[in-house]
Amino acid sequence: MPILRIENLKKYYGKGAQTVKALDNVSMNVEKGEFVAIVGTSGSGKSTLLHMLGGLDRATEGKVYVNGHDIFQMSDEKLTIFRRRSVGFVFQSYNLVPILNVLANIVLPIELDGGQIDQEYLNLIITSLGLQEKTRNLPAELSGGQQQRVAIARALATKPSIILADEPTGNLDSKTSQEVLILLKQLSVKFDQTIVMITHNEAIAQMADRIIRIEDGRIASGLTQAPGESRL
Amino acid sequence: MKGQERLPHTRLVNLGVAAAFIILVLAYVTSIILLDTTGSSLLGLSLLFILCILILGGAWSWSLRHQLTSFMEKVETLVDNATLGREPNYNYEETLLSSIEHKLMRYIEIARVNGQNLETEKNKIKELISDISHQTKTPLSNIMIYSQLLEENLVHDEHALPLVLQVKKQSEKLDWLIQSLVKLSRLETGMISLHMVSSPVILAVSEAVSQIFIQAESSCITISISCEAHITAHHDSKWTTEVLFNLLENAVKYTEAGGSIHITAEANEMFVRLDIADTGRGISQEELPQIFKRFYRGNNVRDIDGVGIGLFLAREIITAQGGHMKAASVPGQGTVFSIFLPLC
Repeated sequence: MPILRIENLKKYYGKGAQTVKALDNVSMNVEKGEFVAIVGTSGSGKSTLLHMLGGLDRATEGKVYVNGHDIFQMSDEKLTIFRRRSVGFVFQSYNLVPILNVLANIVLPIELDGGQIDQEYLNLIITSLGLQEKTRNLPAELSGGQQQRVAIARALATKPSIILADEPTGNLDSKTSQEVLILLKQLSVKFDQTIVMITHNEAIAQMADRIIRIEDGRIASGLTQAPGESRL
Repeated sequence: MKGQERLPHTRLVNLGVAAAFIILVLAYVTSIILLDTTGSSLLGLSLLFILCILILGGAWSWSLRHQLTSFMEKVETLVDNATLGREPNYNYEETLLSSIEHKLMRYIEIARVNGQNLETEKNKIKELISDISHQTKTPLSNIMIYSQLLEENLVHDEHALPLVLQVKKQSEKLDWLIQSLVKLSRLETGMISLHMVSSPVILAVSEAVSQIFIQAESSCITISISCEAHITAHHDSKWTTEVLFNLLENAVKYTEAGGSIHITAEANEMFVRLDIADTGRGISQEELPQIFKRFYRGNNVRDIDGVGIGLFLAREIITAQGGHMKAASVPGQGTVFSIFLPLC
């Protein structure tokens, strides 16, 4: 069963002649553990699609199923809890809290959920992302790549099953982008997580299992998985 | 789910009880005031009594809530511990907690055993592959020896010689394939443990280059290296050498005479990046995502021998070392393979 299922998703802005069809009848599936990259020009609707997947916005029409649950049927309160527990977000801007140190930033979503911190898992994430010597630093003392790594650690802290990333390397130089993406991919394999990532960088194509191309609110290509990826 | 649904209900009951309590108390007080038969001493006593009851009731309710929360917290840690496979906290006690823990442990145990069974099945298949590869080795090397002997005997037979050469070439290909499969299955089953240490990448680079140098020279291909000696990575030098050799061999194979291969190393924030750039025929954009797949062979390289397992093996080795591998190419101008190895 796919972890994400989208059925005839539509998102229209405005009314009448001025209607902007941000998403026009999009249907797709994402399997568990898949790394999907969404590419497209700006204004093609890729961010809108990601926002729908994460329950950040509601669709005009259509359904999004996460693990078999229709997320648009949930109340706003439930949707918030769903986001906090099942989805990890990574954005272009790192959105770190400037007055909290690295460690406090990472555990923030766990504390918001009132859960207990699994120290072993936390240490594993921190060392995998090479942040072990920076845990007491403030975000402002870190480089862009390090800040984005903190943001990734924060997204992973609640052990989400899906990571949604919106141009996660948009503010980074190409070398650092590459490294951050390698880490993101390695962690997703290690913790069996599904990644849906928006990017404008076609070079990232090789890292993803599948590339979905969006044009004018419609999926132009990439609906099916690339064949031949079977392991012996 | 059920508990969550029931929660507002219990809150309602609590509120109802409290309201009834207060109403009763108020009714009692008013009735005493209204009756006013036995004077004010009884009134004072009653008030005191009622106050005591109220405090008691409040304390009782608070303690109940506290107990419930602490119980839930215990269950939560219990679930956390159980999912992480830690030792049970309440082993065989006559309590509800212990019983919940026991059931949970059983459930996890069943799931774990299922997973293990799958793993054994998988390992059996891998072992089978390893065995097949191993057992075919000896007959194969015999075939190779005999075909060499045949070649020596048939030097002057112009009809048979090309055929024998074909036999020789094909068995060499088969030999390489089987060797790669053995390595792969050993890597995947964890039979080879990677010996990860911090060591300069220049060692691996120079070792790999020295292995390919003669082959490159005979094809008139120059190899240049720009790698500073202090760049170290956390890797298994032996296996990294193997990967580099593999990539260099490919580069030599697909580069025309007079071309060049350039190796660059640079240390970044998290990884050491090794680039192997050639001036060969290149790979088309459509084919790039496919090249690391097992047994994939490019469409425009059908004329050159190969089985399509080298890059797959290379990527497996690098991934096992906690690194990453990618390729970029411009058809007709050359290909750059990049290896990322963890910094330390």
